[in-house]
Amino acid sequence: MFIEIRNITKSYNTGKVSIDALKNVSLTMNEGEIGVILGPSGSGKSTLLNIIGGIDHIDSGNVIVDGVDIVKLNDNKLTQYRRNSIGFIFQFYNLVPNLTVYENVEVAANISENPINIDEVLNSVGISEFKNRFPRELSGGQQQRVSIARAIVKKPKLLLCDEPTGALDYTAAKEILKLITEVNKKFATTVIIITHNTAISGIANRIIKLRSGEISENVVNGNVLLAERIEW
Amino acid sequence: MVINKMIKRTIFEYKSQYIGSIILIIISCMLYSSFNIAMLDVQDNLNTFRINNKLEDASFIIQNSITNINQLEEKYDLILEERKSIDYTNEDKSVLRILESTNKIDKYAVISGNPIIGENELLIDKGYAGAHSLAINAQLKINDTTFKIVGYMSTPDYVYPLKSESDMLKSPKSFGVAVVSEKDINKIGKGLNFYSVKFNKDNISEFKSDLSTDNILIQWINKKDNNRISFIDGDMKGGAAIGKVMPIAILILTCILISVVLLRLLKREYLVIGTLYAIGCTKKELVRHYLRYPIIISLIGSFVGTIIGSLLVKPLLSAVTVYYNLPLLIVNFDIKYTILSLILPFIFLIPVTYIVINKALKLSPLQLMRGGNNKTKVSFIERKLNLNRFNFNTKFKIRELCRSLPRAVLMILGVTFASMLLLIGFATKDSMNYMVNNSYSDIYKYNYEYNFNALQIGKVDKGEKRSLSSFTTKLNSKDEDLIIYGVEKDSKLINLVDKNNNVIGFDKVIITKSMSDRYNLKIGQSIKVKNKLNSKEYTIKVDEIAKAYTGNIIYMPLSEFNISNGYPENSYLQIDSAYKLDIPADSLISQTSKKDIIDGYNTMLMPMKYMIGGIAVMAFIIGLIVIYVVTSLVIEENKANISMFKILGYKNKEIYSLILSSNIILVILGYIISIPLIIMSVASFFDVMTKDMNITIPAKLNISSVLISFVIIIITYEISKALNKSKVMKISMADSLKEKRE
Repeated sequence: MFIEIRNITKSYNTGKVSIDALKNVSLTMNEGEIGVILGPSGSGKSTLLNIIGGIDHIDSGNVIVDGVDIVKLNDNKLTQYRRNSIGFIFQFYNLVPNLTVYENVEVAANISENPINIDEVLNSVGISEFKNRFPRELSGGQQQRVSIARAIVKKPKLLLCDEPTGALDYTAAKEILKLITEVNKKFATTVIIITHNTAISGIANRIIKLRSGEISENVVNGNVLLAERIEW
Repeated sequence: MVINKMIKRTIFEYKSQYIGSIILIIISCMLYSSFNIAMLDVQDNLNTFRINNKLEDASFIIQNSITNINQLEEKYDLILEERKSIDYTNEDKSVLRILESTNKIDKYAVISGNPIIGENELLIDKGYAGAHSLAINAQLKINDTTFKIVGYMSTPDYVYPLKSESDMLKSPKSFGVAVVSEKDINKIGKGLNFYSVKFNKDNISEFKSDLSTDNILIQWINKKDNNRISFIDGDMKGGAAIGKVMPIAILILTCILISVVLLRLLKREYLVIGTLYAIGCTKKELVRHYLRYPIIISLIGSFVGTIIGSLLVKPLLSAVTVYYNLPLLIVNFDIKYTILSLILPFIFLIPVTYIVINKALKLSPLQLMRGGNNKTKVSFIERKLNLNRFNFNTKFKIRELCRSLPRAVLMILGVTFASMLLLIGFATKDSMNYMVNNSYSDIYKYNYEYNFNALQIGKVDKGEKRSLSSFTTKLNSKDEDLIIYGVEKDSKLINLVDKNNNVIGFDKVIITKSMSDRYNLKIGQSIKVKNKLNSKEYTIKVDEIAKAYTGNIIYMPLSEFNISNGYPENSYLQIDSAYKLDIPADSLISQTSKKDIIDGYNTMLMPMKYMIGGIAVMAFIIGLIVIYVVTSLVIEENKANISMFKILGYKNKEIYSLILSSNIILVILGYIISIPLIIMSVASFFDVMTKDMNITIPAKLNISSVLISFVIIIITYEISKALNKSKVMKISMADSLKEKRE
């Protein structure tokens, strides 16, 4: 198993109230799979993604990624883990506004030991012609492509996508999903996508549904669709 | 409005930025009120003292005693008094000048203790008494007479106790003044007779002509040329300039600081503002709300600053009156400066912040709710920058610098101002050092200077002859005073060099560089001079300009000097010598040793070291505030980037380097700008200070001072960076995930 999550619990204390974000969550994923985590707001999907990404800590349980229990890692080791193993794609792209497209990808390449050539990455996500533009000079879809380029330039083992199509129109969203599946195939990158959009689960090998911090459904998708084929 | 409740919360949330602004206003108001009120009081004290105690207009030495004082007083409507002084050399080789108590002119004022009533009572200047541990009621033996010190005193003609009226630096360790009764002074010795005069009419020339009819004037010194009297006026002007220029400069800096902080606040609250607009709030209401920030800051700053400033008036006044031997007669809290100090921050801050707020609130509710028009606008400079050849870290830092022009301007101005403040002390010290070295080491090679009280004729066995006289000349349509020295042609004890450091011989007429600069005099130009003592007029042509900064001085061959002035051949008034000579004290006006001058300089440097330290602390605080606030603004603006960098796996050290280190370029730039600015400022400060003095102080700044100041500025920068590191640490990675940007 590439990812093995065992009985994790996570609660947030906000003053007098304690909120259970995740309750005894367990799941597994194989290397190279695309997993889609579905659920309404407040179901705990972002918390789960943050924990897998080494951004958030858990109260109990184990999170084993590529044989390493990241729960046991200290802050420095977690930084190293994010640096070498994880690629992030955000809903609102989170590009550095005063850096060009090329420089935004360089942000990640800069700390990678063996990055892919930036021009090659830009070419593969189809935005090489905009490499000297600034983010605000691009459409939402183009910005998300830059975000993908930034995520994959350091050849991560795991690509974590937080509502990657949430801010995009239908056409742009489908193009981004197509690009993510291409990345998955080309680099054999394991991908986890969290979304509200149930239609996106069509491209997944594994579909996990979360409700109130608990897994309500965890199924292997026997009918994986191409990104172009899914509709909503 | 209910939103006003946000003010307190916002100020507490971003307290460092607002506290920084308040401290700057406090410093500004403190300087403004303390300096202006104290300087006004010093001026009032000085004026009152001069009027009440009848400051002389001039003093003179004449070959034969005047026997018709009453007649002259009546004829010219003036006050004239014969005076006597004896220079008593103490066991520690310090000189105490004993003055005869006067009745009509330059009357003493008792600073503490009692006036002279009985016999063998003596009043002494506090500086000398302090330097020699002489308390009131102590005994002091002068020659064979033992005096009781009955108090400390000041006379209007020795407010700055200098041995010679042309000296520049007082030295309480080596020179002081005392007053005894007329009867007692005769017990001590013969001494030097001189006269002080106060005119009621503009008839100085007629009076001098009258004196010269059947007598010879040896020396005539107008109060303007007497450094003991006039030095304080220059310092008052300097103090007043500091009290006006510095607070305004700090306020301008605060204006920019608060504008940048407010702009950031407005940007942060665009969504709230847009929503408030959308639900019907008017622009007027919102402007009024945001104006409360500068009003609160100004109110706290000006109130606290003015109170502290008012509390500092008395200590400052005491310090000035102790440094200058001046009785403290009046302490007034000038209401004009107190009110101005209270309202000055408002005058500066409110209009500027109003413009900033008004401009920001011009956007439509929709634009505001979307985060404003220029949220991520790419500037022309950013677009045109070609950074391909640099590595990512350098690219990021350069882009960061270009991101916010007001922020960069604030950083540069803040560092420039703090550096200038820091360099003021160093530049003053270096300039004084240069002037003293130039005058007393480079130019004057003798160790002793003997000034006679009557013209001497003939050859001298030891030392070199020199003569001098005061002159007036019309330069730039104004009457200007100058001194002409007659120097032996083969003088070895005076060394003048030209701009190329070539030695100039004394077979020529040489003027000082300071005189050439002040009146734009060039080689070959002629000037008509009039001898102040005998009113003889003649024209001299400038042959050379010497690198000397001691004031309006012309050097010419002694033989020509005597001929031009109608003095006897081979006559002289002064002997310069490398060794101490045995010349009877009663034939001298004064004798000066170079060591005394150097000692005086070192004594004067001591308080200057404290001054440099004090100013450096203030510069450090101002620099720290500005750099800290700008750095915290950089962190705030980069919050999302920092969060994202953390997610991407950047280590804290790498983030500090990217986010916090870019400002080093602005810090260095600000520092470099400050160097020419401080040299220019110090030069004009010295110009104001020495306008009515007989010296020029060239503005100098040594490399060592530049380096020390640079290290201090860099330390300030590093400290503010270190203080901000925790802010970077606190930024959560989760902040980036759901933040809507672009």
